[in-house]
Amino acid sequence: MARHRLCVKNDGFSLIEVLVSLTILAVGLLGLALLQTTAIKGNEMANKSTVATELAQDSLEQFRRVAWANVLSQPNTTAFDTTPTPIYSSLPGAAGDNTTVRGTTYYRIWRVDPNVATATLKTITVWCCWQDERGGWHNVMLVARRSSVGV
Amino acid sequence: MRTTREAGFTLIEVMAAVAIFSIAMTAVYATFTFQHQSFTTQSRVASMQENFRDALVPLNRDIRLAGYGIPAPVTIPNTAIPGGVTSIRSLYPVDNTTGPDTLYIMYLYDMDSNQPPTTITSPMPNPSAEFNVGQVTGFQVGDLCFISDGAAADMFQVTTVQSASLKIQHNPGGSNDYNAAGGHTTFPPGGYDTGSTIAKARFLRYYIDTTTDPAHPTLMVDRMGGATPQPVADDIEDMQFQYFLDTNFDGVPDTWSDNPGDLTQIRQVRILLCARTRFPEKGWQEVRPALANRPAGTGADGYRRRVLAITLDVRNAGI
Repeated sequence: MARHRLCVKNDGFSLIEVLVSLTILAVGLLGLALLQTTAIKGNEMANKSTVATELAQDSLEQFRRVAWANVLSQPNTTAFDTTPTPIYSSLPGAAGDNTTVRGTTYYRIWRVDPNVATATLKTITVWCCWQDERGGWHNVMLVARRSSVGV
Repeated sequence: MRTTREAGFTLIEVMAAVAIFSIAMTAVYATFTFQHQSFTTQSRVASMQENFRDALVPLNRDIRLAGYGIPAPVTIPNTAIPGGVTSIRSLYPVDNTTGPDTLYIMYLYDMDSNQPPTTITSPMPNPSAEFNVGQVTGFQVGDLCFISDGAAADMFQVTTVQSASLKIQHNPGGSNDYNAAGGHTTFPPGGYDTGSTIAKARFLRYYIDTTTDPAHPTLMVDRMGGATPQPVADDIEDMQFQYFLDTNFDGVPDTWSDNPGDLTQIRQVRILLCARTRFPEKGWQEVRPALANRPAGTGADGYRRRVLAITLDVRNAGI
């Protein structure tokens, strides 16, 4: 009799055991859900990088048709340091201009350095910065040179 | 009696088991449907973003190159561009306020190491409608080509390539619309002298095909040589162009226009593109946005969209 009882007890699961495994399953499913949000954020990040790259390129293209005397850094020079890197804490106030695409604002900062060796050459650096939903800053930097030939 | 009772389950036990099992399965199923839906949406969004970049890259390159190597407007058959346009040098815009714009682009193509330009070794005009050239490598029957002496340019279509005797022929007739019957009457006085360049032409028409498959508008490129247009990027819903004009010719553009009257004033082009997901999505409501001078759509649908405007400098504008 006693042997039989033991057998029955060992064959099944207790309610506690089932509940514990359910909890573990729930944690696992939550992990899976998080995986998706990572994928969504990755896609969003890719899209924002594309937009920022195009905007930075747009700025460089515009510099091609600006009169040579007007190929200058943006008026507010507190937006970048000499490294040169953009100073995020100065944004958005110090940005050269900004564009909002699908709810995200992209701040453009540009800096022009005369080339020391050749007076007829200027180096143009453009940053396009944006903030992710957690407040972290990202930027795309493009550098180009322009000569005084043309306009 | 006792043994029988202990071998089975009570109704309560079975019901508890079923309840717990159904809770677990509901969670699993909900997770699966969420994951599946999210995966579908995200892969569609990712491919939309890919389409977007696919569209921008060739448009970018071709607009920047427009007019390269062409010193004067080139005569084209008046059936090539609707509206009886008979010459083009760099860009020819066709504005549309109720649909996507169209843009014709022309430039000389000599960037491919397999296709260097060649020069003619005896003057044109030539009575047999053939050029004696330095070399014929890469030239194919049907190719659109330019001949230019640096001051004038003309376009022709290759009808025969003689690799042994180094001749390129451009006979009229058939589907060779670019070869005028009786020889080109547009050649400059005295014709083209020895040393004039022959190179392949890029004469392109970018447009959005909304009729072949109305559910999937496709960005197309037509190479204008009689061949079937090729798709560039899928699901590009709208394409609009704006032109930055130098109306006082001081070198600095001053006026934006959707439909410029004087094409020689064009200095920069702004491309506005709208891409959308391949299929509409249940529960998503979005209206096609206004782009340039085309108003927004009238009703919401289930497509997700990406819109971007980018300005390009036309390196070989004006003249």
